[in-house]
Amino acid sequence: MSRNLTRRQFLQGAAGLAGAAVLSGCGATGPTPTAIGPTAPPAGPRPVGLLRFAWWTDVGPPTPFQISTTGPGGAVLLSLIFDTLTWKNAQGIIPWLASSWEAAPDGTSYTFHLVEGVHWQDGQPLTADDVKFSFDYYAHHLYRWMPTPMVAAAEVLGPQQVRVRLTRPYAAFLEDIAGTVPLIPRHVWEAVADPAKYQGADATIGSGPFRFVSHDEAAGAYRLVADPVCWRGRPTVAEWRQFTVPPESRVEIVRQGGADVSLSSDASVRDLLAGDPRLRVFETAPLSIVRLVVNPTRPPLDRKEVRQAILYALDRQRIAETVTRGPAIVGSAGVVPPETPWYNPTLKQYPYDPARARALLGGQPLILTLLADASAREPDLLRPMLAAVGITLNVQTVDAATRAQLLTEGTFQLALTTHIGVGGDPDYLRRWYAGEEMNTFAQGSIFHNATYAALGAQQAATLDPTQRRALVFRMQEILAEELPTIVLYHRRFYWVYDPAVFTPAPTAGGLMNGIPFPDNKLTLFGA
Amino acid sequence: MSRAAVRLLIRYLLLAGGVILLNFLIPRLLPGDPLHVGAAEGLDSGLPLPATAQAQLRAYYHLDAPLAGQLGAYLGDLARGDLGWSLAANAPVGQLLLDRLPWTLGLLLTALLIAAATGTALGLLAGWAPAGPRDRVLVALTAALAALPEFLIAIGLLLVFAITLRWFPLLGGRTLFVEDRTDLLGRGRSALDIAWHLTLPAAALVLAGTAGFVLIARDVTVGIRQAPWLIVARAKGLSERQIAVRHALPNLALPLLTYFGLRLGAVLGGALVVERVFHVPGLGLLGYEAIRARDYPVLQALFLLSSLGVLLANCGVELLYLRLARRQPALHE
Amino acid sequence: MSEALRLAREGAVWVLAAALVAAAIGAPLLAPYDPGLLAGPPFAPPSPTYLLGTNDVGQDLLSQLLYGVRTSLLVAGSVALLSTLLSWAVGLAAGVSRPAEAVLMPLVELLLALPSLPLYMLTVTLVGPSLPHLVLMLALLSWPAFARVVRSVVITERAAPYVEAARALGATRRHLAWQHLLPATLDVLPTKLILTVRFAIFAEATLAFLGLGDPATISCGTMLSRAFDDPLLFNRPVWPWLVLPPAAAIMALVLTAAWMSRALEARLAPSRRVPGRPRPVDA
Repeated sequence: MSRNLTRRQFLQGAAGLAGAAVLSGCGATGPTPTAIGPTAPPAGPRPVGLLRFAWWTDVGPPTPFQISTTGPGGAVLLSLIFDTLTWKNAQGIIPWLASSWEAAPDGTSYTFHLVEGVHWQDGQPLTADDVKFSFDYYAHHLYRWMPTPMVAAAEVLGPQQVRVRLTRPYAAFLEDIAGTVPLIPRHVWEAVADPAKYQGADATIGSGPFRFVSHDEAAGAYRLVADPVCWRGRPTVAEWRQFTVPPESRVEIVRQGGADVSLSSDASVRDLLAGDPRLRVFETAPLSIVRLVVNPTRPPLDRKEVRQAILYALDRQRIAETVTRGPAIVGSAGVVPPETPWYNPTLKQYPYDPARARALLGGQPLILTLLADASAREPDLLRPMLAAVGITLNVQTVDAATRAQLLTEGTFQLALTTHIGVGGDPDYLRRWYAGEEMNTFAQGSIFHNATYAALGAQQAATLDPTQRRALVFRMQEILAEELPTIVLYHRRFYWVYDPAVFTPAPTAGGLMNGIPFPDNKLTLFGA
Repeated sequence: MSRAAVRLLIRYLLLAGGVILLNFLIPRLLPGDPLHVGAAEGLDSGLPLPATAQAQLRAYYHLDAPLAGQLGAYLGDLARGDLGWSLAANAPVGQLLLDRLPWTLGLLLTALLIAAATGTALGLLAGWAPAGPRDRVLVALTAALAALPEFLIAIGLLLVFAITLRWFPLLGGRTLFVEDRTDLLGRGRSALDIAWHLTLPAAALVLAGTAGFVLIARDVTVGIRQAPWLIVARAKGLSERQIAVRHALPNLALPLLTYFGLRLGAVLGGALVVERVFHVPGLGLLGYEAIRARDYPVLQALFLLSSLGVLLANCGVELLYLRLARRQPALHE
Repeated sequence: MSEALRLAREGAVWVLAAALVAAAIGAPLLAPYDPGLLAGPPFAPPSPTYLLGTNDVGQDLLSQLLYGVRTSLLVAGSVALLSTLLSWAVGLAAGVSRPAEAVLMPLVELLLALPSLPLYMLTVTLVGPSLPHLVLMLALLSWPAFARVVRSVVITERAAPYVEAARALGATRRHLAWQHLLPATLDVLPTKLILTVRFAIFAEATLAFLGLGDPATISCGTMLSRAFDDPLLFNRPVWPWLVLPPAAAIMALVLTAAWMSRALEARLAPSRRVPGRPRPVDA
């Protein structure tokens, strides 16, 4: 479309001019990026005027206290505006706002050394005071995506040094907390008593590569512009836009040049775009899980045999291949996905065996009700497979928000849900069943098992990798036997993108706590 | 104002009152209770509603009061302009409707006017030579179009013009993020952009709505072609075209006006569906999302406002009709 | 048009109608597979095993189409019957009884003045989109138009001499209604039935497309809604087989109904059509 091109060219030209202006004036007053440790950024991408990211929904006002938790879109958007102490690249955890850190031997405190010369987007310096304030504030006002109940207090040890003390050792601290929780400016939030309702313009001031400009809720449209004096360097993308695209146009809009990055979970995009000279497809690891949440408090699902029978009755390979139209990655009964570091290979698995299912059910016909999204195709496959062993499946279609609420209330028998977050630190196994999971699509899991809960608490506090591994393996064994959730399969995300504008990057285990998105902000910074 | 006009206004006021009352009664008269439908498990007829939504709906419908109290509270809310709070969008319903209304109204009026004009012209053409080849082709085409629901026509247009030919944009009402410059040039460009986006949705509605106008115009034209005064006009030596425009056309005005009013409601329905296909951010898309989320306050408000709107428009049409009928001598028979 | 040609065309319409109804009734026998069964690989192109191909989960499209037509006709037929009954009851009552008229006619006028889709959206969402509910709602909201026609016929007939005579002989209003007035209104019955069928097919397809179809049953509207949910629909080589058959089925059903109503109208009540009066094109 010629109109879009002209606009983009104009913006590129403007960005180029602005960049030249900044560079010429830089060095005297601008902050110098510090040496950043063993990982170097990828070969510098060229400057881009505009990047348009298509998403499926509005993600709420971009502050840590109002961001939407209906899926990870909000948390990832926030990561463009705010920074965390640590970050991740394709190999693992890397320094970010903290250039180095030490953990106490007993794991109850971490001392962080902050990068020098970092400024908030309003010009104020970012110091250890801000870090301390952030953790103290989050103790009373939750960060919506990741609460921090294990943080006891934070102390300022020096202008760039801060120690965070925990109530108990927490093995996932560096990845799930230090790498996920955004740091907020004290001079803005110390005067705010109710952050969930705060509408001030400074609510979106962070230290990240992009400044927030505008948000149109009806269109789910966000406009962010690059902060040229970002502590890490000038972002190569001058403007970032995110907006809502309906499901049926998700791929088409990138093909037509209306967006630059979009998500599909349908593997046929690879064949579709194989001959396309302009676009590419970026495949993530299969870190999205599709599972049935079981409510084991109501009959007949309170009987373990019934739950196991369901799993035997399902040809999950076929379900996965039919729905994703790609190679199937069948789920493990212990939830942790195969091909990830914490997977227990010795688990009892449940191959497709309808005869065994019928035997377990004892020939008794059952009726079950399943909550599912209207566009989910799995119920069409589940119904005949379950009918073949004598289980009649009634499917109730509800929208995602209603389903999430019903799950939290426990008003359901079976629910089909799909979400991310299972590729990172395995502490989610504990969080789901301790009621601490914030992603609404992952909530509502019910499992009352004292041994499991004890193991969960123990592994969270175990720092020795071997010991922790044994504990996590044991947890998976319990899950595989009791089946409070029936994992169907795992999905890859296929990101369709325009390589002239966007550089995707794989992240070990997914961004933050296991989010398989390609927009790791590392790629925004040139050499 | 004439007695007839006063009677008309009173009639419409009563109808408006009826709509307001109907909006109150509908959720209370329908079988089943939408609030408690999910309490028992395994019910395949009912869909569960979460507790938070139930509480919100309880407050919205004033269910804690007796029926008379509910009616009073409902009327009070309406008088204050309070249409409730949307469950899904977490915003006042009135605000949502106001934001979306211009899109639907624009689409609706444009489509209806173009359909009326085109339909009249085509119907006149067809009816002028009934049973001739032109007539037969037009009637057949019209019948074929009338057999297609609007959403099919919309999907067809989307497929051909937006996806295959790429002449028009895929979705939306306007290109996002374009700064609205308030100067004339900016406004003009913005208007053109909107027009470009709305071309296909409007075309779908026009195609769907023209059929009725064509048939009406044709029927009336066929009827008046044999009229004696027409023979006189021909004898005077007027060309067919002059006869058609100067004499036949005015006779079409009244029946067409009536039909215009009748079609308003139907075209509104069509607009709601077409918006879903083209993702135009109007009332239709709002309604579609409200259905999925079972956002009753939005659906109630949508029903109330669209009904009152159609009543208002029909009232206007009928007043106009009265005016024209009075000024015109009796229809040439 | 010559008489023979017209008869031939009418015959063709009846044959088409019969074929559609037969396909609908015979769907369980004609369909090669159970429509809910995962008959084959997803998106299979048409072949001797799957005459129209398969859909996105591997269900046979031809079987789905047959059952879809069946559902559409079932809904349409039920709505037509129920709606007709209501129309007649109200029209007759309003025609013979002044008090009934005073109550019912304003209701008729109110319902006719309302745009139908927002009303359906509200009511069907409230009761839930199961098939019986859908039929009930569509019937309840489509009877007004013809109630007026019935009433006007009744009023005209009431003034007829033979009715006057019967009344003079002491016939009760009920007797009058049943024995004398009702038969007079039967002229319009076929037209009403068929127009309602047409309306119901339209309405069900549109509602299904908006997500208000019964998710447990297959209809032409739900087939289209489902196809349209797929983000890559138009990029799949088999998309014509997913979209065109149900669209064509809807078109065929509606056209057949329209042609039948015209044929019946021409045959049964040729004098009733007054040029210039708007012919009811909706229910």
